[in-house]
Amino acid sequence: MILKINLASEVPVYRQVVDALRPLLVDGKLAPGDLLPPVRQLAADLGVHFNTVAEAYRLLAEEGWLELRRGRGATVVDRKTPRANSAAVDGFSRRLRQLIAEVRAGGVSPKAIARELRQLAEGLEP
Amino acid sequence: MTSLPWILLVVAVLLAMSPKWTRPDLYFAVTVETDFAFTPQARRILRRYWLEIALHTVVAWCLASLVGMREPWPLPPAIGWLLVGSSWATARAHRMTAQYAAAPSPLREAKLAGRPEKMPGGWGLAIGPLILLGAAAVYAQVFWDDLPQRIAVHWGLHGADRWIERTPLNVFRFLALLASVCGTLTLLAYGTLRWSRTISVSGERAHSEARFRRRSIWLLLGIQYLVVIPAVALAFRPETPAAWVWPVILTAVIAGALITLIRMGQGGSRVAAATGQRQPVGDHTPDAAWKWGLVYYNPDDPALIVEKRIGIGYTVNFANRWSWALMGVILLPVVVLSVLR
Repeated sequence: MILKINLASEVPVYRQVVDALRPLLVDGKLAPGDLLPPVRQLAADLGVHFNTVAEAYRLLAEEGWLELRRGRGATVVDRKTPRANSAAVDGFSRRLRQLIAEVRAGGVSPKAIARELRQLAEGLEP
Repeated sequence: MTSLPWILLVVAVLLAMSPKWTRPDLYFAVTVETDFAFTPQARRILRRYWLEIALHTVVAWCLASLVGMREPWPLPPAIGWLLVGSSWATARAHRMTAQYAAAPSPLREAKLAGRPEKMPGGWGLAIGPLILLGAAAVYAQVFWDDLPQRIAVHWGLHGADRWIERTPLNVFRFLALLASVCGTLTLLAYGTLRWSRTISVSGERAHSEARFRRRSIWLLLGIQYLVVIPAVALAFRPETPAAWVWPVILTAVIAGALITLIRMGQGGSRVAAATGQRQPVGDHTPDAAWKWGLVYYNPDDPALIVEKRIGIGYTVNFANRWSWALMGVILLPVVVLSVLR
């Protein structure tokens, strides 16, 4: 598995790292017990400050995905998915609508958006 | 001192050619477009650099001739002059190239796994020379009376040219010096394996980069055997036949390995097929952190070992506090040698 970031992106690097790792954790491609590279090694390979990677790992640890051990890197842990409340569902709906409005304003056709959403929805089917 | 002009010439040629061995999108430690080296501007910078190297070589030779009238060993000041002069020339070329700098690709990749690579040949091979030296120490202890009264500690093509008297302190200092050289080379090999930055993580480029790294490590490990075995054999058994062959083999192996690495290009960049990417990739270090094009100093970079931008191989990030510890270990053989003398 390869982590990709874009240093020219407006999205902060630590956020890019979190956004790249979370789908792998959600999909189970990074399973409980898997070891992630130590903070310094990942930061060195990406050429970013180690605090950047440390912050990303810390956020994922706060979400319950990782266990951080000093000197031993990060281990993926078994995470109990919390039950979503109505506020979370409303929040998701609002963010999705905002995103769709944003990309439509950027010129992406409704057809292309629908195709993408359909593909994503099919991927979510058990 | 008839070999002096040849040594200076070899060093000068290596210094002159070293800017051409780097990655194709780097030129005098500046990130440039991949085909920049073929432009008239680049050729002008290189010609100027070569001219300066030639001038410094002549001055170094004159200096060696002057010092040689008084001192028996005029090589260090001559080589020193050449290295300082070439650094000056590099800094000038670096400054001239900076105006043609290109923005490197902002895309970065990293493997989400630990480093699976093991020391080539295993740890047994890596510490083999140290074990041999331990065995030599035991041999010296047991067969002390069989050792020659004057022990040769330096050899050239014309045979031994430096000796020490057979005393326990001298003999074990000699072995300690060899051990510190081996320990340093092993540490460098391990550092290259574990602490050097990986630039490419997938495809042909990643493969050739890994191969380049492995060959660099093999070179560091191989040199130890080629130094330790003849040094101990010729010191304790000076009647060893065809003694002149060892310096020749050592030189041939080092030259052969370096030629192989040079043909691969820095980080294996000449072997890998072009990916069609237009934007230069560089080596994932910012141009601004390369002081005078030679010294890498970047407090924001956690990497300890990075690829050199001029020449071939690796260097340290001097902003990393561990780099000073590493430099201390590298200089250890020099300190031991000073004590020995």
